[in-house]
Amino acid sequence: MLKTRISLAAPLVIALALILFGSTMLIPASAVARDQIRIVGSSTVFPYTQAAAEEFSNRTGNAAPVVEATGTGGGMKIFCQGLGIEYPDITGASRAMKPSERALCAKNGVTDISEALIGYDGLSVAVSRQGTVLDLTKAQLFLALAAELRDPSGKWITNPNRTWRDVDATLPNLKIQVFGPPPTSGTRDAFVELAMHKGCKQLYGKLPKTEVHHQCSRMRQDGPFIEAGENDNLIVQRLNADTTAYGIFGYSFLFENRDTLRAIKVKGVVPSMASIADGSYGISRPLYFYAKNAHRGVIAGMQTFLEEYLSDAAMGKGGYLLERGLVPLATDKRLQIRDAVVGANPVKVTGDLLPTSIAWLGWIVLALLITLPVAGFLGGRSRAAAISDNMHSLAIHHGAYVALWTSVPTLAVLLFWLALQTPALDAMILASLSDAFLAGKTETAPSLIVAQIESVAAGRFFTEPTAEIRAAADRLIEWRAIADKGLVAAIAIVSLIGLLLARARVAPDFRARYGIERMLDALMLLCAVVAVFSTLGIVLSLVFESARFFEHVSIADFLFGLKWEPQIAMRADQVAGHGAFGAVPVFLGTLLIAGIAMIVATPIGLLSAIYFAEFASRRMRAFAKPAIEILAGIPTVVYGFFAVLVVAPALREFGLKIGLDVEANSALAAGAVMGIMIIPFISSLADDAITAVPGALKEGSLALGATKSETITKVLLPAALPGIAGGLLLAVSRAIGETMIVVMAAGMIARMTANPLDSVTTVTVQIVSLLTGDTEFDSPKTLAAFALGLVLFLATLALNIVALHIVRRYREQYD
Amino acid sequence: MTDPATTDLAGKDRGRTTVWGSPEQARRFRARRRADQRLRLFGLGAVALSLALILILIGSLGYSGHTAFTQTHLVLDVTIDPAKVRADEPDTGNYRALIRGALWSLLPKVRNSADRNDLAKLASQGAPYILRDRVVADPSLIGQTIKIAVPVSDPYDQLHKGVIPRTGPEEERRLKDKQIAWFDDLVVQGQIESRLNWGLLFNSDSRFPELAGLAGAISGSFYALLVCFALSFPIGIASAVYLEEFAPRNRWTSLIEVNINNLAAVPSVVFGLLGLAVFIQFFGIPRSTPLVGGMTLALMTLPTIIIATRLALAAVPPSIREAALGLGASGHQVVLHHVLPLAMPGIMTGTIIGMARALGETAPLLLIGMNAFIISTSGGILEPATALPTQIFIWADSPERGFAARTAAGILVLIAFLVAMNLSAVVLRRKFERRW
Repeated sequence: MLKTRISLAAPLVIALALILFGSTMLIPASAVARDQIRIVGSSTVFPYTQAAAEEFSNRTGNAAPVVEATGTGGGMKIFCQGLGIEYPDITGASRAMKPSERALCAKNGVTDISEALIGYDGLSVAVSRQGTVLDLTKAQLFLALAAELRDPSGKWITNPNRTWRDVDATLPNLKIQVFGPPPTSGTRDAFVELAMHKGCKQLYGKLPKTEVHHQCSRMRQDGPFIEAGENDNLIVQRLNADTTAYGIFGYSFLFENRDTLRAIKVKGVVPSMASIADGSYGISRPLYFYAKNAHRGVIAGMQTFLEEYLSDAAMGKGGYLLERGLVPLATDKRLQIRDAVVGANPVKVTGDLLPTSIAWLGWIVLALLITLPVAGFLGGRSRAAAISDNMHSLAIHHGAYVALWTSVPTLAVLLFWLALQTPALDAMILASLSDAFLAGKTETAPSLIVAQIESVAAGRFFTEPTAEIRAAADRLIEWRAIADKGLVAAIAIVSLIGLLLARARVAPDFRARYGIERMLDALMLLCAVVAVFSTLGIVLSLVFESARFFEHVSIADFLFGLKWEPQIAMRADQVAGHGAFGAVPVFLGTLLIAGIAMIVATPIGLLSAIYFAEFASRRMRAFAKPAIEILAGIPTVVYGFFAVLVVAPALREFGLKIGLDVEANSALAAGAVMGIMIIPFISSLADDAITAVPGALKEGSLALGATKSETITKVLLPAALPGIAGGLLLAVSRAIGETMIVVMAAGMIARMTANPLDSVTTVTVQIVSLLTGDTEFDSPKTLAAFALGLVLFLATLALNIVALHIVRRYREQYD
Repeated sequence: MTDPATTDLAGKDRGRTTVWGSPEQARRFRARRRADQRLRLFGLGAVALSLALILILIGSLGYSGHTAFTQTHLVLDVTIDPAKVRADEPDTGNYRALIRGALWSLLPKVRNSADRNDLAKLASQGAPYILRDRVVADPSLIGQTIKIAVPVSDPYDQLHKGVIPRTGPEEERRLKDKQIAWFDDLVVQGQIESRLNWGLLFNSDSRFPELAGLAGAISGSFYALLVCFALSFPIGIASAVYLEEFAPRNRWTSLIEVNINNLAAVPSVVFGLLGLAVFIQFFGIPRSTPLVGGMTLALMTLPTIIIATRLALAAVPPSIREAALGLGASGHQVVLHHVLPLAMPGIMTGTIIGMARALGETAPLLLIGMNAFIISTSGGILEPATALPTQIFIWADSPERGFAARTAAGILVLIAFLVAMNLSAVVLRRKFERRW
């Protein structure tokens, strides 16, 4: 009886999970109340926002704001998606908002924005306290770090300077070695604009625009300038390990590490609060935050938060933001901005944020969904029990059959209804508007109008709506109420029809169990198809975005180009970036690191597998095998830190001892650590393959007098070879797709090299750095990530299909 | 074969007879034995190397993280002055002044107001809130003098632990000579205590290392895993049962199979992209919430569970199915009543391993915003939260020195969770594993 219950519960549990999955997707964001402020944006502004948020929450007891560092561009993208509680209220920026971003905001109705300049950030070039403090001009920085210089005849040549002495005879004879941010970072953009462009201009005078974009903006990629990812802590550690290296940081970071780092002078000026604030330090940039005025008074505490952020306690003398290294504005200017932002007239908001209907509707629907199937079950069971003689199926089967017919079609109707209600109502509302009202609106207007009507209907209006809009909103509310009632009625009717029809079929020769089983099969098939849908989702989103990328760059250029330099932004006034998006060096770097990983992991993994399969005692196996499998369970973030903090410095030191020049983020370090990660992967797959060889082969070999090692190398390994090969291919695909280790430990510069001591970059590194940087969201730089993702997906797909094919064929040989 | 002392060896020696016990045979036998030993040693070496790597990994983390497991506290005798804290509104009192006053009374020699301001920074800036929470919880304390231990601020904590130097040029140090003297004076007075750092587990995130803890991240990870489990476990088992037991072998089911196997190897960052594009942008599920994190992780965990379940189902011997069929059970009854319960231990093991992997996953969570700074613990699947690995990622990026040790300590806590989960999987496997 218990077993029967389990079997009957199964379809319901599966159905429930599917409903959960389906319905969570349909939670309209507007139905979720929000009582905390949401802030996104630049990682440079992040520490200050963080401090203001913590003080605000502790002081006022308001819900803690959610502060997320998305990069300036990423922040703008989310910020500008629209008004309403599903979008952030404030975004931080390490540059002013660009016209294209303002346009996007305006398109989505975000027009009333307060801009607050909060202070300045000085970009500093720092060195370990043991190192040499240089005094450089911007021209010297350019000579040291630019990819190309002009020779006396005016031709651009590859930068020949290797040491600081090459740059200027008065500088020390030290190798140039500067760690800096990747091209996707706002810090990098600021450095290029404030230091490189100025230096270029000082050297060569005013140049044509294309040369400023190309030659003056390009950092060298041949070694002396090392792009080191976004993690500044790691750069600090490297600087402390190597006192001849320099690093480019934001000022707050230098401020926090002033006991181990010193900034070099730029034209004789050391960056400090005073020199950045008064502008005498040459490389400084403004920091901003932007707030949606329409959200004030709607989002609890937002006005108070803005007051806190710009208060004297935060930004005044000795304020807590200054303790974090913010270089504040002059007092009068600060007070002026504060008054402007705090006093920006928050538009009065009428009405409630929450559409009131959702609450009761959800409960009624839930109650119907639970009670009717239960009633169906009881009804079906009692009717079957009443017949009792010579039934094909048990009474309980009949009950379950009725319950399933009561619930499953209803759920389908519900999902269908929820998916269609909003679009249908929108279309109806649009159709109901008078032609006079619609006349003269632009192409994109209908969606805007509908959005406006919807906000008004939801009680969120920030400006007084016109009479036409108000009438439409009232209509919308009315129709929604009808739709809600309709939904409840539809659910009740469909459920009851299902219940009655199914109950009417209860009869001695009715095969209720078969019905349940068919339904169960269908549900299980649906579950299996979820996996297909997620693949489909991946493919569609990748292909869609890649197609947009390939509008800018031809597929052939991307796949076969030998030059990967996403740092050259492709602007409107520029010919399509020829060769700048050639991904071959990126693929090569990926293969190099994956290759190193396999060289490390294959022997160790295979030998461990052999040992476990044939030599190890039961106790040894029971202890050591899970112990090694721990390696597979360690999060890859941890490996990343391990590579950067332990392996890379050790390799570098060892290299120096034997006279080899190992780069700080060499492919070897990343590859070796990745190898450690995939050891257990290989060892358990190989172990499986070896133990799957039929015992008869092994016993036959031993019986003929072969030693264990002979049995292994001559009998077991050849027999298990296809399985092992399949396992190795799976390991390769894992190595290619691994993200966090290489993000942290591998380089950012794509180079055509097979030297494991050089720094190379991988596909996954490029995806992450392109997607999480401060670039504008719709630039080809960002879209390139999706093209790389598509290639990565297809490559792993191919590897897996081949590997699984091999494994399967092999398995069938012995069955 | 008449002479048992001679034998015919395979391979190149075929056709030659070797006398048992002859020096030639003994030499060859020794060589074969040596080869045997060699392979065994190589294997043992490989295992030992792997284990050594684990030790180095954990060891280096423990070395850099151990200091974060204690926290230096300052013990203060605070008189809750009714003039500063009103009994009817205990949450708006001037606790900052109380803490400062108590601290200044310990070092009465410090008179200059700039120095006094500096001295006040010895206690964590969160100290007033700790005092406030205590008084709000028990308003009868107003008017009394209570002993309260508050964390000292990060530089002093690092000084006490010997992480930052006391000597060297003063301008290069975070703490000046007089600050060190104050601190030493307090140590002599017995007001400084090193305590076990429970805050690491029970506090939420903060911008001050001495106050920052993992509670928010742990709750976020918990809710995300809950969602992940609720979705991936039933759907995974249902898919696996269907594919293994009921699906007709045709092009469509093999397409599904290839799909699932391939999904298992899709780089995790791609799932993050999917979560961002589909769950957040298309369906409008709120960003940063454990709900969307759990759903993304569920898609990632699904193939693991499906594959583990299929292996477990396949391992149930045919005799059991045949016996059940022979007694008249239907195909579904065989699977649901017999095969599935017997395969359950294997399924649970696979599920736990999949969950452990989901717990450690970072990249997809970065893309769906579960890396925000939130100083409260998450109250449910719809409240924004961070997860353990992303919290580690945030701390690793924080410039304050105290976060370096806390990052490593956070990693150790995460690994402790993972080891616990994996150990339970191993125990489960051991306890219920059946050899047929």
